[in-house]
Amino acid sequence: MSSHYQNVREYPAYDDEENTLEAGQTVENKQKTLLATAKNVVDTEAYHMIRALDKSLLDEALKHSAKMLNQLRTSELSPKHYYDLYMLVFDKMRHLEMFFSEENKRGRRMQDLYEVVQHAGNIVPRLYLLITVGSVYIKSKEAPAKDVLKDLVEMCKGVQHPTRGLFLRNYLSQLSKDKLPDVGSEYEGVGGQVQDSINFIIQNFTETVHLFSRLKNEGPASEREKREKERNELSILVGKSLERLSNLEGVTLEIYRSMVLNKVLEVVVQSNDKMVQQYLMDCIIQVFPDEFHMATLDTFLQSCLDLDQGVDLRAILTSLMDRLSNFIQRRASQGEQHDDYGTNVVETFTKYVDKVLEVYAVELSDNLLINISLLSLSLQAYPERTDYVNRIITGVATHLVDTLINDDQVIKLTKKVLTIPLESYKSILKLLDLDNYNQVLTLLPFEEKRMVARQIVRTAIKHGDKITTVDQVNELFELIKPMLKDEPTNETLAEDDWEDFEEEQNLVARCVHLFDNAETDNLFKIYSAARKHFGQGGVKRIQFTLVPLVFKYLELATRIYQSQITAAATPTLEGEAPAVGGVIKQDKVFQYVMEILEVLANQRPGPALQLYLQSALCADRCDLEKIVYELLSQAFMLYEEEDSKVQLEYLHLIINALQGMKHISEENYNTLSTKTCQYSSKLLRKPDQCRAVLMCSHLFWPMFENKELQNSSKALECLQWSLKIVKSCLSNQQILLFVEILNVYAHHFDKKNDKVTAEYLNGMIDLIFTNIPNLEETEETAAAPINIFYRNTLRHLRLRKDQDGEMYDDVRFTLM
Amino acid sequence: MSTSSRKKVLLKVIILGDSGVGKTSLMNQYVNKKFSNQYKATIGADFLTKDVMVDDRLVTMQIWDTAGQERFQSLGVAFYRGADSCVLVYDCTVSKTFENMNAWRDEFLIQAGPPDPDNFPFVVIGNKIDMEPQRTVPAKRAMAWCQSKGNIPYFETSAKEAVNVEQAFQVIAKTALGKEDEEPFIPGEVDFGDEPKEAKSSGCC
Repeated sequence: MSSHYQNVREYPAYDDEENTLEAGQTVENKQKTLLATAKNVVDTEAYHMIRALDKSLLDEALKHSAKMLNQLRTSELSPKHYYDLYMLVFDKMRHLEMFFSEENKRGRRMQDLYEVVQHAGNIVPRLYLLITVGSVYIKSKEAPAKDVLKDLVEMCKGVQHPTRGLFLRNYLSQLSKDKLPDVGSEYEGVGGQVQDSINFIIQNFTETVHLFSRLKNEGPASEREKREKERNELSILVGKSLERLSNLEGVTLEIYRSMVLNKVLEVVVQSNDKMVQQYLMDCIIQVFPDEFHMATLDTFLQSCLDLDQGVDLRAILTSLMDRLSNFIQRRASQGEQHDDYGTNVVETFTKYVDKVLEVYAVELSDNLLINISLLSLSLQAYPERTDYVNRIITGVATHLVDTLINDDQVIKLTKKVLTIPLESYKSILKLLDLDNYNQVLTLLPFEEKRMVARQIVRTAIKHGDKITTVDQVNELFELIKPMLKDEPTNETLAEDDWEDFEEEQNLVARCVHLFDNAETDNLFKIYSAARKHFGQGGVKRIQFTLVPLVFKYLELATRIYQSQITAAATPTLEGEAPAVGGVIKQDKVFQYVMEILEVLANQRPGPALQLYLQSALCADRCDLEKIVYELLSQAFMLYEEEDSKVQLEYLHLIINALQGMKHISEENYNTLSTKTCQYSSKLLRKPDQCRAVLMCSHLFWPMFENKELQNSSKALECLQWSLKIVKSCLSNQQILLFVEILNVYAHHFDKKNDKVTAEYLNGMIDLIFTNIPNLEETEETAAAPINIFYRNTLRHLRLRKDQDGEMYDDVRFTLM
Repeated sequence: MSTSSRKKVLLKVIILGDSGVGKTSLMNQYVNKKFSNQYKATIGADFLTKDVMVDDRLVTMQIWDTAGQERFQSLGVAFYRGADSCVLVYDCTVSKTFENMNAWRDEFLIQAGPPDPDNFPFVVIGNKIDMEPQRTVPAKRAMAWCQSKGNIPYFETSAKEAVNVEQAFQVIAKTALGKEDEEPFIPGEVDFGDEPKEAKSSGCC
């Protein structure tokens, strides 16, 4: 099917397409001259006509009006130029009409005038005059409107030249439109019934269709293209009658169904003219209200099948479907009820769409366009009916299956088929229910697939979908595979795409938070399914995807542990088995965590180390001593392999983790804390060593989480040791380290470490005080912050003294 | 031309705007006091007339309703000629229809070719204010546009609920009449005498 009709640019059109530009200009110039000459005559004759009317010289006026109207007898002008001339004449004729009206008021019988004007010599002027008098005749009500109309429409048969005939009938239509017998109009009753108006309009309509079709076969075959273009321009003169029918008050749905639509369709189908059919089907869709279409779908669609080969059925079908989609949407937004359309629009359309696709050789892109409209209509009209969507997508899959999709338009449309349901559903879960969705998705090129996949994930996140089964995980990850896995065909990531890729992987990572199930066993299975998919993503992906999964596993382990504690604390009735919870226990979960961390450790040791520590803390809370030790050992191994530049930072993290332990045995703790102290003393740079050892003091005091692990002597050893290290540091580094050490001493003192007495604090204060002058001799810029740090430290101590009093009695501030 | 004073004044008004903004509905509300919620496309151009009193003068307004869809205007816009006023309509719930106002105004001025385009009387109507919650074009924005185009009178209407329709058309008639007064002679009358000869000679060449 071609869509040539739709593609013709009708307005504004300049006639230089079919000829060379130069030839086109010549033609256009000639047309302009012809038009100007004709207009001149019209102006002149109109002037004389008006003068005559002013003097009430009727014969004289009629003579000039006939000369003016004679200009409309030309066959030379193109439709647009003829229309221009027609409009000018039309305006001039209003003077005559007004005169007739006034004559009538003065008592002249219109019937006489009706006779008089028939004496005009030529048929074209005669009929224009007759219609003009006729319109006043109807207004005068001397004769029933229906009789005058019938007479006029019959008389118009006298002009059989297509262009002249079409314009003449348009004149009749324009002048009669407010004088038609209609429900509630002043011409109803004696003037006739709405049925008379319908007959009148349809008769005029039928004649215009004949005139229009005849134009196709006139003139030499070589000018066919030009004629088709002219016909296209003239088409509104044919379509106008349909608008007239639509505007009749009396054309109710019942009348439309029983008397209008069938007759109109009959004329359209019998015209056997592709352009007429295409155009008028479109007009029917556009000029009659949606409610009428809803009620007469079958009739309209059935007649589509009777149209000539070559009519673009795709355009007709999509135009009607889109119109009804909008209508239903509008109605829904105004709060009107759903589902009751009198007829099932989707099933009706499906029936005819199937026939069209079966009988006609429909191009793939047209096929997709039809299905896209059907899909939108279906989602709009029956949002709950996933079976309709399923059916449409299955149909598309069948049509696409043998096609290599490499046509841009087909790709674009196929993508649209996939994204329409996505945009309509407020959840992706319904998407997972569509049997062939993935099959269609798979047919797209990699990049396009990836774009759809991203949209799927964004939709899921936006609507907070809950993925509750392993099947759903597998289905979802199957759909978004292009985000999870490379395809052999897609090239390695270009550097500039990295940001894009990172964003994409973060999207995938966020999927993890959609997983939800009340049963811990099920949740475990869901995570493990996700883990399997993520595992295929390669090095560059797992650093994004596995990390959130580790946290989810840890959360799960804690949840299992907590439920056991709760179950143990809940007294059970006699004879009743205690609540056991799930089969999967926390240690099993940690096995999975360790496996993942091992993978990560190979690729990204830094983040893996942090995760080991995090997991160890979690395992400690779940009372899994062995696993805690294992996890920390792994962290230590990673530490040892790390670059010395980051080691201090990692030691910080290790010390933090260790001092947060709650359930660890003393033996294991001793081993680990000793090891940490050793690491600290082995750091390359002396100031680093000093700071790390200083921090190690916290491994022994205050240990709030587990006071059994407190060891005040060891804490003091660390403090003293760090002080010793300062001595081997450069002199300009020492003073800052002293102040830092003073701070940690103060901390221990404050946390009531019995080995750290006021003496130590006083000693440190003295030490710093004696060194401060040295400091001030050196660079001031470097000294200033240290000075402030020192003063703040002392200010803090004073504050503590004010608050807690007694224990600070022995701390000396005199030197300050 | 003593005869012209006897004549009833005929004012030609053209209504333009995108498809679906309510051009036909406005005209029907004004002329027939009727409104229908059903959307029906207009094909080509058509007018309705209405007699109104403007400043103690009886005038006949010939109001031309036009097709918003391009494909239903395939014969061109010869009917713009001789317009005394042009009404630009947009739907205040659809921004695009407002954004196209420039194009409609330009198109009218080019095709109608009035002698003094800068002062040609336009009136702007933002329709469908009964759908206020869905409004996307703020009144301020529309008024700013009207001001920038030489203080075009601006109305917000509801053809559905007959809000402001009468008032808008009253102003339309007034502006159109103002224009009419500037050119009290019908064209052709002024230059009559040498025009036909000149035309004939040009016809020969």
